[in-house]
Amino acid sequence: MTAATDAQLITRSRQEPEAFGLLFDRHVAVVHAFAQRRIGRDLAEEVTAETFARAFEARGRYDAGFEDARPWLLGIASNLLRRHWRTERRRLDAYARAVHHERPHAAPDVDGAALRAVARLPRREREVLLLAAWADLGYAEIARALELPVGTVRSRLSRARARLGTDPSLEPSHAVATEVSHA
Amino acid sequence: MRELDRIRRLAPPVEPLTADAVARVRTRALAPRRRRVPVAVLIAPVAVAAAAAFFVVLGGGAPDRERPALAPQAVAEAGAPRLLLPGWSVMRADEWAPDHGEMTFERDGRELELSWMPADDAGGLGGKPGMRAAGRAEVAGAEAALWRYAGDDDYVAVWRDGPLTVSARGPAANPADFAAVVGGLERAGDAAWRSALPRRAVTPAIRPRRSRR
Repeated sequence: MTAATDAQLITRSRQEPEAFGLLFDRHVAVVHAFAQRRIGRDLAEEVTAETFARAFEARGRYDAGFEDARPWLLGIASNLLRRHWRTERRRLDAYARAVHHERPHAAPDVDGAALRAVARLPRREREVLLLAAWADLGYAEIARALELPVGTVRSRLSRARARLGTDPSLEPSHAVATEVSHA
Repeated sequence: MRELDRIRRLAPPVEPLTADAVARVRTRALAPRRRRVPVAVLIAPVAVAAAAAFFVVLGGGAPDRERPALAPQAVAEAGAPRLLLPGWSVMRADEWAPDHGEMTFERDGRELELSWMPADDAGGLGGKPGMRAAGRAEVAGAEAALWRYAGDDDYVAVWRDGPLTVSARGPAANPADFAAVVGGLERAGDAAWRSALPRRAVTPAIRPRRSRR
């Protein structure tokens, strides 16, 4: 017997709310892992719970043409993660230091610099980058998650990659920033 | 794709959810909650919203027969800037707290991101290292400092609005072009502002912190 698709579960949950629990079981680990990578374990639980609660509320508007609900859920999670931009930045900086500490002889600190650069990407570019890199979504899936045209996703990802590779303001020596905006 | 591969490789390790944690998250996500504060409360005057917040914090409201109703929505929206950019569409608006939110305007594929937060959190109107000063402009009746990101065509305007610091960021051909765009931001009445929002943004899920404890 073929397992129900996410879309089928969501559709069914409109009449049988308990069917949504199956969707929760199927995707809770993925949503939590994505949130944990970005803001840590404890806050990730809260964001994960809120993600599914919001998804449940919004299930009536889910487009059943999309069998896989993972991009939809990760999009909701991404929206919620915007609240925690300071935590995310601090966490990325701390992780960058930890990465360098683990490999102090690996000079220059390319990995740490990359993580610090991610922390300083404009929010809209960082979201796209991390959905691609840490949630393994493709262009079309990210577009669905963030409700953007695919072309916008491509351009944001391209700009993020360019900044990571070339933007001098993102070098480690400029890592301590006076925050103006969380954009 | 070298940069993306590096970031992928550097993904922080994940501590898997334990069975207890899954149960905890499941309960928080899907257990019956209190009923949402009606949308009407959100657009009522501050006093009504504040009363609703009090109501939610104390756990009032009838149980929802079906399930969730996660984020009780009641918030005094006093002080939040109500700005619109004539000729531009509002793509999204997220108001996470009365004094903290974002919205994105779009026109012909060009975006302008507006954000606001308490001035104490924003750290003044200065730029980041690597930014260059790009002059000043009058924005919505206030004087804004303009900054340009190094190596990029993104500009930021930062200004004070009462207890808040507001910033607007977007690409522009030059400082004058950016100043002209942000100079077009206009204050709007609450009804006009709400009517300009996309449908999904009309009921921002904002909750008093204590309400979920």
